[in-house]
This record gives sequence, C-alpha cells and structure tokens, in this order.
Amino acid sequence: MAVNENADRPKAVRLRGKDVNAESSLKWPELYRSGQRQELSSPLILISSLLYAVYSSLVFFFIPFGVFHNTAYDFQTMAVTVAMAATFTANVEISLVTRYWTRLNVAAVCVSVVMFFICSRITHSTSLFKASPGDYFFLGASNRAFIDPLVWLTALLTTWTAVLPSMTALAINVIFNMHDKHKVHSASSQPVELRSRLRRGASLRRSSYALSQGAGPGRLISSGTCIRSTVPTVDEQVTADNNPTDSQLQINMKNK
Amino acid sequence: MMASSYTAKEEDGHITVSGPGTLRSRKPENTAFKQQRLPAWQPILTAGTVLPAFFIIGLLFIPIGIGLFVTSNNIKEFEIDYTGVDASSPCFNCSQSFSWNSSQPCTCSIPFYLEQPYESNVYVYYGLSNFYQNHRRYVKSRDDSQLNGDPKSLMEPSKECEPYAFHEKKPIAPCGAIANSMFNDTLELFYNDPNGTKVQILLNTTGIAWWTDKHVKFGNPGGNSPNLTAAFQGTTKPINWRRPVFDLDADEGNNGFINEDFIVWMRTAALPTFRKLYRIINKKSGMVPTLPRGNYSLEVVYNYPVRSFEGRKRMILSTISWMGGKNPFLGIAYITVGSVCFFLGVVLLLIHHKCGNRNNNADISN
Repeated sequence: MAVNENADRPKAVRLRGKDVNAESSLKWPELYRSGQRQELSSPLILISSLLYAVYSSLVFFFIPFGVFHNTAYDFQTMAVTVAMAATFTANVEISLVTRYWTRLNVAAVCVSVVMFFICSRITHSTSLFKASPGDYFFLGASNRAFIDPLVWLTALLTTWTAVLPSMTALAINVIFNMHDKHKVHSASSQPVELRSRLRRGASLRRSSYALSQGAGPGRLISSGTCIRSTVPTVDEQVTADNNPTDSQLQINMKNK
Repeated sequence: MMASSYTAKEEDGHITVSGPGTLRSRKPENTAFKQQRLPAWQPILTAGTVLPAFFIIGLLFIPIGIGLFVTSNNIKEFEIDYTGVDASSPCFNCSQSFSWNSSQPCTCSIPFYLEQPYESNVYVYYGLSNFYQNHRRYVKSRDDSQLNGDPKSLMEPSKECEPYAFHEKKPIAPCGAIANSMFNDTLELFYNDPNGTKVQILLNTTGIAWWTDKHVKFGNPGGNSPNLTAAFQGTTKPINWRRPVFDLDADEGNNGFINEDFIVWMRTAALPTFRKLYRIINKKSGMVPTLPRGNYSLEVVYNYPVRSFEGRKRMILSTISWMGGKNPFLGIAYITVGSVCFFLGVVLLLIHHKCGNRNNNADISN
C-alpha cells in the first residue's frame, strides 16, 4: 500500500504557500504573530493532531472492516480499497489547506490521484509478476477492484468520514473569522512608506526588523559602526542625504 | 467566489557588477514561477460557500444509503452453521470424533427449508469464523514461483514456507501454511421432491476462481503435459492433505495447482469471519426457479476440524446483484454518515447565525 502523498505533505504545504512581500508584512503584523507566539507548535495543536490521526486510522480500518465482514472479498481487495481511501483523503486534506490555486497546484492534485491508479495497475500487472513472483503478488487485484462499485462506494464513504473533522474545523474557522477575510481581500497592495527618523544607510542604531530588510549586519559589524559614537560623521550624513534609496551596496560603491 | 490576484511587481533590481571579480546576484531569477507571480485562483471562503457543502453531501449520501439498503434487502441469502457444537446437531458426532488418520470419512446430513424460490444463478459459499487467514506470518507462508510452475522452485521451496517446506527430506508441493490448511469438506445439496424422491442439485465446479489467478498466476510444472504425476515426481503432499495435489480432480483442466478450489483457498481472506465461493448453481432455462421452495438437505463429508480454535463452519446459499452479496452495513453506514453530516450542517448554520451576526455587528459599531 504505497501512499506517497502523505509523506510529502509538509513539503507540499510549504510549496503551495505564498510569500508575503515587505509592504504587506508591515501592513498586517498579525501574519507573523502566530510564529512569535509559537501558536503552530503549541501542545494543544500537537494533541489535536494526534487525536485526529487516531480518529482517521480508526476510520480507515473499521469502515472497510464493516463492509467486508463475512463477505467473499479477499485481503488484496480490501488493501486496494483502503489505499484508495487514504489517497483521496490525503488529496482532500491538501486541497483544504491550499489557498492559492495556481496551475501547478491543480496539476499536483490531479497527477497525484492519477499516478495512484497508474502505479497500482503497473505493480499489479502480469509482466512484473512474471519478472518477480515473490514481490509482485497482487496480480489481478486492481483489475477487479477498480471496476467494483462496492470498492468505490466504500472508499468514498471512508474518505468523507475521515475528512469530516477537518471540514468542520474549516467551517468553524470561516464562521468566526469571516470579517477578517473581507478586510484582506478588499485591501490593495500599495507601497507603504516607512515613516521613521532613521534614514536608510544611516549608521544610527537600527531595530532588528529594519536590519532584516537590509543587506545584513555584516557591514555594520566590520565597519565598527556600533562601537563608534552614534553621532553620524559628516561624510556619512551627506551620503545618506544624497541617496535615500535602498541597497546599502550602492552606497558602499559610491563611497569608494 | 472567484478572485484572481495578479501581483505584477515591476521592480527588477538585481545587481550585476562587471569587473575583475564578477559579483553574481543571489536574487532568484525574475520568472513568474520564482517570484511567485503565477496567476492564481483564490477561493473566497465564506459561510455561504462552506456550509452548503455539508448539506449537499448529506442530501447525496442519504439516498445512496437507502438505495444500497433496499438493494441489499432484495438479495436472498440462506446460511446454515454445520459445525456441530450442540449435542442435538446432526454433525455433533463428526465434530467430536476427529482424527487425522481415520480412513473412514465422517458424514452428516442437515435438513433445511427454503421459504423463497431463488432465481438466476445461485452461489454456494462455505464460511469460516475465527480463522485468521490475514495473519501476517500465515499470509507470507507460500511460494508463488512454485505455484506458477517454476521447476526449480518445485524442488527448492522458498524459506517463507518453513516449517511446511520439506517433509521426510522431500519438498512439499504446494508448500506453506496456507496450502496445508486447505478446506477439504465436501458439501452436496439434495432437493426433496414433494413426491418423495431425493434429487441431487448440480453444482458447477469451474468458474469460481479469478481468471488471472487460474490462467496467469497458477500453473502446473511441466507446462500443459497431461501426466501430472510425472511432473510432481520427487515431491510429497502437504502434511494435512489426504490426497496429493495431482489427484485433486479427475478433470485435467482442474487438477494440480490450477484446481479452482485450491486457488480460491490460496487467495487469503481479509478478515477472520469470511466466506469463499465453493460452487455455482447455474440458472435453469425457462421460467423455472433455480431453487424452488421446499425441503432440502445438506450432505457434509466432515473433514475439516475447527473446534480446536473455537471456529465455526457454515454453508451459505446466496444470489448476487451489482453490489455483490448481501451487505446491509454499507447502506446503513451511508445513511448514518449522511445524517451526521446534515445535522452538523444545521448546527454550524445555527452557530453562524448566532455568532456570525455578533461579529458583523461589532464591525459596524467600530
């Protein structure tokens, strides 16, 4: 039972997320508040993830168990049913998390499902069985399983039951945070001016946030700016006035 | 519902300094993919778009469940437990006096009555309970190369078959625990005519195994040569079998490894309570029902011991439909999940009306 999507799930979520530019970060500081408060790795999140995993494991076993109990269906058909349900569930979960649907995202979900069926057919095929009978012994299982209505109905029921808590959480999230969503969509991204006494490139002490937007603290440390007095020298002040743009490197070039 | 966001930034500044030491820019290339400028569809999730999903799924699942339940109820099934646990059961004596070495097989006869006539093909199954054919070590105890007809594996069964690989220095064919525990009861059905005669019902022994199993997966050693005794020269029968594998059936196409009862048994069941197809009663031409109403009797040649592990043996007669045999669980499960979903949708709607309104009002007052 090879379900490769589950293993790649954290990576997939990272790939589908979208970076926020500098202006938007300034405008909506609540976007990085969850990281500062460590909300995403709190004990509550971990326990709820664990409980959800236990619930979905029970669903993946007990619904096919109830369907195939006291029937003529065999071990391999039940395996294919559970694998189908797991694949569908993983893709639905990722679809629920994805917020920006580019063509790549759509392609990834579709290819994932299609590859499951193709790989099942390949590993259950005659040619691979003849090459190594001890390894590819699921011969013929997917031939009958993929055209059996009972298998499909069981897989769909199991998928929906396993996804139900996530859907409910999404619905509750939407109900309680709807007003925030309207604000996010109606705002347009306009350039925001950094209103501050400190000009860029000035050697006065800078906040850690400002440091993270610049070229890094390397130049500051190597030039000894922090050690010397905080009053700007004549040269630096003139240069800073003449070049109120970003990129300290350009200022560096001009100074040289 | 759709809001496509085009964030096309114009800034293009990456520093390229040409000179003796070329400074390569560390900024990613200015393609749409790397600068995350791909056109994207951003679904606007509101209560109006998410809550209907619950209602739609609920309203979809409940009729499907009802349809499945009704279809399952229309399938006719009859089951007899013939283990012989009760002292009053006809097979009680056979279940008590079991021994591997008995040359005289024990037979018992159980009468039963069919209330409804069975039309179309009727499938005869044997069912076992508390028999864990899905135990991992048991499932692995087979040699698929040997069963495919490979002559080398015939003489040297794989290690997975241990301890059922060799017996008295000879290789066992077929090896393994699955083959060794093959079901060997014989079931026969007789119809008691109203005028007193006992008619044996014709049971079809072919067509019960999967086509891929019979024609691809399983094959006799030595190809299609008719002399199977010579092909299995040098091997011995499994310990618990009464007859060797080349004597399973007189019919050449159903003998050796490609015997359909053997193939059906080797396809391991999923759960401890299972049934396997034993025979098929083909439908009769015309309007005659395959099994009319009346008295029948089941004659059992009781070979298979199940009392030692508290197992049970059953014979099942069943018609089938597009969804297989009788399966009320699926219909009930669909109805249950559909109603739970619908109920959840209603609850969320109530929450939305009570709490969602409060949020909107707070916004307006701010």
